[in-house]
Amino acid sequence: MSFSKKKKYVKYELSYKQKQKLFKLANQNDSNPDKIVNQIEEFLDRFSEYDEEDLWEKLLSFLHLKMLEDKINQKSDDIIETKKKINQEKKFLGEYEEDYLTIVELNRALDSLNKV
Amino acid sequence: MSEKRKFNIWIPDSTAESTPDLTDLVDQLIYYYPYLMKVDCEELKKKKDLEKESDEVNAEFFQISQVHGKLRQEYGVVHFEANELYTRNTLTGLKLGMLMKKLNRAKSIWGEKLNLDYDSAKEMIKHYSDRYLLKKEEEI
Repeated sequence: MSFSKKKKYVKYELSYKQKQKLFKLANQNDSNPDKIVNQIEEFLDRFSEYDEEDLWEKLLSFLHLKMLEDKINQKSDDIIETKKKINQEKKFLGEYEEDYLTIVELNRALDSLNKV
Repeated sequence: MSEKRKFNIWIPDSTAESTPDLTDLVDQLIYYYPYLMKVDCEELKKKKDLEKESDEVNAEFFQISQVHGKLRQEYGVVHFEANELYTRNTLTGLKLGMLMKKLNRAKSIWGEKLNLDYDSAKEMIKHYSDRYLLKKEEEI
């Protein structure tokens, strides 16, 4: 990243666990770990321009909200999909029940034929 | 990607100083990474009703989770029942197939005597075997 010359920075080394999460993130987002680290650093750089008290708390609440909204959207999509699947399974179930009864009848008919 | 490789994040001094736990800070940043790019710090600074908004979204999430959970459960039950019936029908179909083979032999011995019932039974079995083969293909 291009660091601001006026600012001072603290080096933080990612723990083993954090590195694992970083690799996972890179995979999920079709990105690479270096790019993600750069984006996080750029964000921190932007964020540090605002020296407002509680801004970090606000940020966490905001991020949590965005995540929840995303999950709500995913669940809404999944609800529509599940409803479709339920209807399809119910249709199948109806057909299979009908088939089952016919097959039982058929079995009886064949059985009696077999005895001829 | 080598797991031995070190990854550093350079944190602005001012942020590091006002943050008691840097590990937690980095944890959160990684956790919420997909949403970081959506943050407009200027807008965020102006936001006042985050708590109210948070309560509303939390309630909405809770409600939708419940609906979602119930539907998934319903799907599980219907899917299980349909699957069970489908398997049972297939097995019965197989047994019928074996019975048909016996009848086939019987027909070759007894000839026309069996004609009427035999043909309609054969037609029905063909219908069901085609149908289950088709369903199997769809599933694959």
